[in-house]
Amino acid sequence: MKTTYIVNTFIKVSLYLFCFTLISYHNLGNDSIGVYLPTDQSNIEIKKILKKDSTYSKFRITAHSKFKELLKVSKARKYDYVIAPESFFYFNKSYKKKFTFQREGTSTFKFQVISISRTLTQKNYKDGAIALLDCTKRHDAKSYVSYLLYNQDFKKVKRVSKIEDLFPSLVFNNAQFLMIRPENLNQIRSEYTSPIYVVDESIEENYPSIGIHINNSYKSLNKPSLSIIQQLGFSSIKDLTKEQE
Amino acid sequence: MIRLYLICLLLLSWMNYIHAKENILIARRKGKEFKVVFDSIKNEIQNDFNVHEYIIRHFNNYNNFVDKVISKKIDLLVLMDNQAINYGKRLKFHKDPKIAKLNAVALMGLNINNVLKEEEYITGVNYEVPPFTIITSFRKLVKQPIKKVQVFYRPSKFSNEANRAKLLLQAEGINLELINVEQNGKSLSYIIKFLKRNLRKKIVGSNSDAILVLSDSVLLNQKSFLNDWIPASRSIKKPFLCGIESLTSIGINFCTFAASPDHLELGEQVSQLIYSILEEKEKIQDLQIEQILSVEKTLNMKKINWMKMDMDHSSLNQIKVLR
Repeated sequence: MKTTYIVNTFIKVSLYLFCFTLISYHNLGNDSIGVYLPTDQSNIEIKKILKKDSTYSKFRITAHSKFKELLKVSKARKYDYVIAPESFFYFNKSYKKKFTFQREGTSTFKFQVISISRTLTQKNYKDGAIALLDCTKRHDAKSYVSYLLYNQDFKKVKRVSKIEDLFPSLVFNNAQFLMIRPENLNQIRSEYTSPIYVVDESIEENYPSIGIHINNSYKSLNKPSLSIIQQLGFSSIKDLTKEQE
Repeated sequence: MIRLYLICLLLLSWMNYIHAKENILIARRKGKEFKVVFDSIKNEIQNDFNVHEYIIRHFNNYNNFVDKVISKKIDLLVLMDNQAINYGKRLKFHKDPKIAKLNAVALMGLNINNVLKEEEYITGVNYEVPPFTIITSFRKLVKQPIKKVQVFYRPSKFSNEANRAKLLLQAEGINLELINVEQNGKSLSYIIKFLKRNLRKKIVGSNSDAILVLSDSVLLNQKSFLNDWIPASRSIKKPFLCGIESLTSIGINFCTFAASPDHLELGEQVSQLIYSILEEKEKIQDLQIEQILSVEKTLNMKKINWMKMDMDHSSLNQIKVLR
């Protein structure tokens, strides 16, 4: 009885191990891509959209709901490709941009600095706190904001993980200013009626890009189809390698 | 010889680095939510600080807590739950001025705004989800306009919060009607009587679009909850909105919608406070008690269908829907 039990267990464990090895082998064969986009689309939706593309469906896709997750995993596991906001490439030289998304024919936008108090101006920056959607390491947040806003400094920079938490951080005075992408500002304007004052705008910043790990720079990568680009909330994509040629 | 000297130098600087890290003690109760917040904070700060944990159990007491604070040379306390906050408050009477002036961040306690009013060295994050968040989150989901919301409240405890919420919601075009349940007296028996006579009458007699239920154990006392709140919510076709997820369960069938604390994000919000105090050297007096920013949303679809409310179905995929 006991011997039968031991043999059964052994067979079960061997089968599990065999299946696990098969799955691992199959996965290792595919290139990996890590994705984080600062939109209100969920990571599940983004993954579903990319799965419809003939090129990207072949990759092992990990869509992250937070920037810091992409940062952490890309460091540990080294994705072959990433789809990420400009700040990721600005601070992370392990990935080289190949395509940059575009809206209405342009690949750049300006962050808007907003407040809900009519009296606050740029003069209040040095004593105030600014909140933004998390897109850097904690230590880089202040310098990134300063770089985007013509070297102006804030007393404090607060990072928020979810787009929906941006406006409440102003309402509850966690921050006096918000640095926000135009599309996220439109979303807030459609959801809230409280008066919003635009205080400032940033230098031109690129829309998110698709990048390749520098160790894989020999690999070729096709751009996603137009339908996929549009479903991700953009109108076109710019091939940066062609630009260099 | 030079090699040995260099190795010693490296070892010494490494030891200094280890020693230089500040010590944080997180005092908490056992339980899933406390663990989620603890892990979230630890995950955020462990590279920069030494994180110690103190779990409050029935067999340990204030003295054990103080022993831990002293033995681990704690630089900052994180106090989760009322008991831990009480321990933190008692420290100001300690004979060692360093311990008495120890900075702390409080969270997951009741009415932290009021509890920490007199505290010089403790800041924190309120655990009650603000009315602004609950009401505007619900408004995003439904097609019908939300213009007027009624809330029963105790001015003796929630006067500031209620008036502030009224002001914030005004800017959103929402009239928050404050109904004082202490009109006849502040004691529980008067409040029970008031709710018995007025809860249903005030709701039915108003053109309100929703009822906000505050997370106040006196308002939701067992007697009023069973005899007044539950029957009203089950017979009046108006959505009851609250800040506690369990009150939306199909079994209780009480609230239509809840915006409850997102514990993972709460840990990250607290971590930012920790960095403000220890790294940016901000004084506790300059840090306001923060409102909880991030919430999880739960909708009781059975109630929505019963009230025949029109939903914006595109926004339902990001919330928890109970059917």
